[in-house]
Amino acid sequence: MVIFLNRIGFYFFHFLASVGRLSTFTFRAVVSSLTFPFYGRQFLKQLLDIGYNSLPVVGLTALFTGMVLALQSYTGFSRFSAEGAVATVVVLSITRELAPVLAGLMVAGRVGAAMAAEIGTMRVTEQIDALTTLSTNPLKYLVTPRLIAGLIMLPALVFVADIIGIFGGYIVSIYKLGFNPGNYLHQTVKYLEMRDIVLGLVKASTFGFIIALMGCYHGYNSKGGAQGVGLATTRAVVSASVLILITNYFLTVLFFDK
Amino acid sequence: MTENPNTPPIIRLKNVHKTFGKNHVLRGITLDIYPGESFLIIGGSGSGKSVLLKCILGLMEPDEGSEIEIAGVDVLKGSSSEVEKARRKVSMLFQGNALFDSLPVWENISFLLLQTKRLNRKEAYDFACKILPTVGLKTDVALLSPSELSGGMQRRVSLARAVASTPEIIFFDEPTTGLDPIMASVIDDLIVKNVKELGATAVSITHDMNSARRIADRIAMLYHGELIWIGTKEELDHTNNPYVTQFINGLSTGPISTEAS
Repeated sequence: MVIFLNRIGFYFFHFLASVGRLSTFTFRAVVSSLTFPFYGRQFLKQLLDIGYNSLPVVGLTALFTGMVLALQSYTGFSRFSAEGAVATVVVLSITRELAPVLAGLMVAGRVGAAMAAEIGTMRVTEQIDALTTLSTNPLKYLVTPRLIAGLIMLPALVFVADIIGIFGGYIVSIYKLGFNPGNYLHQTVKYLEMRDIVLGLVKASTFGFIIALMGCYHGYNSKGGAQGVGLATTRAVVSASVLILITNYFLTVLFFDK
Repeated sequence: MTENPNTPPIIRLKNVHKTFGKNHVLRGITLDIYPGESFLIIGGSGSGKSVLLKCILGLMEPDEGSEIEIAGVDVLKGSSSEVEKARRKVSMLFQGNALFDSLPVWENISFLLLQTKRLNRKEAYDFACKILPTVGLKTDVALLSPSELSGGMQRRVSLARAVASTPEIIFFDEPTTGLDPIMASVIDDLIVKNVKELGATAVSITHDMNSARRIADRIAMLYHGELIWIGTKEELDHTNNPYVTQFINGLSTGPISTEAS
């Protein structure tokens, strides 16, 4: 019994220590982003990497999600003769939930892993120490541009994913399910409100911050050699994915209106 | 140059301790290093050499009560602007080179000058091309990535980066590790030449005794976190200290335990 309690205590304190380390890192990274100098070239590189280079994977995910959503909604709604609601369900599901969450998860896998691997390799090969000896704050140089780029580019990606996802639903509804194009588009915009889109983009921005933070944090604190970098990469993707799903629930509750 | 009582030390360590959990790695290191000298720390693996260097460079924080001064500034208690100013006088050549693999060779060399906006990108490129021949490299490597270079070439680029900002103090962490004997000798010669031209102070750590004899004015030996011997390189060969004798002659028997700890 004592051994069992000891173990629980050990894991609890370990968890608290991890939360403390992550909070300190986040605080230092945010403070760093508010002071000069600002590394513009690093920032532009991250904008391209997180945004432009993630477009194909996010676009494809959104397209097929929109198409499947239209098919499944039709299957359900046709059972009680409510096929007309397919367009509304597709547009609301995509903008409020699916585009931000799925784009977040895809970018976590693509960009979060790459950030952790790159920064982790820099840590174990002493490149981060080299930055310090060259009078460059590693947090400002490596972490700040990634955090800001994540905050900005995820909403941009999700906005594009919204359009592509809705387009995917439209294609299936018109060419496979036989909907009238004019009616479908009318239904799509009729019940869509600006707050639906904005809520999705706010979620996306939060997820972008989480992805960059987890990638940078785990990479920055990686230890050992190749194994340490591999572990950091796995932790970055898993923690970002789990945090995206948890945060998504709380943001949905926060913005939920009956 | 060796110890001169009229010149204040450029690096002063007083009672520097560093522990990791129960492992006491540095045990009260007290040491003065004078301007213009080439000071070398020898010692076996795990003796605390790298930890000592990292504490001096601010990459690791020593334990409470330790004192470290660089160019007259207490880098543990001084104001951040003073410490920043003192640290700008320092550069380092890392054991694994630590070149930024996302940047080409020329940006690695001119990194500090670019970040501090002392040079624009065109000037920084020209500057790197001017530095490269001084470390025995042709200017056409400037546009290559560090991963496209051999180990010896990477070490030369790393040396070029270390001297590019004309530092007052340069740290060398195992500068010849992983190089063949000829390349090791070339790197040693380049270190001596560049340090002399800059008029800088060199602080090196190594367990390569050939390299130690080529680059050092004064040598200290670290054993289990304590400085057990300091002297000139001439004194090194005539010392009666059994630890030093065993180490420099590479003997498997003697007071230094050869069992893995």
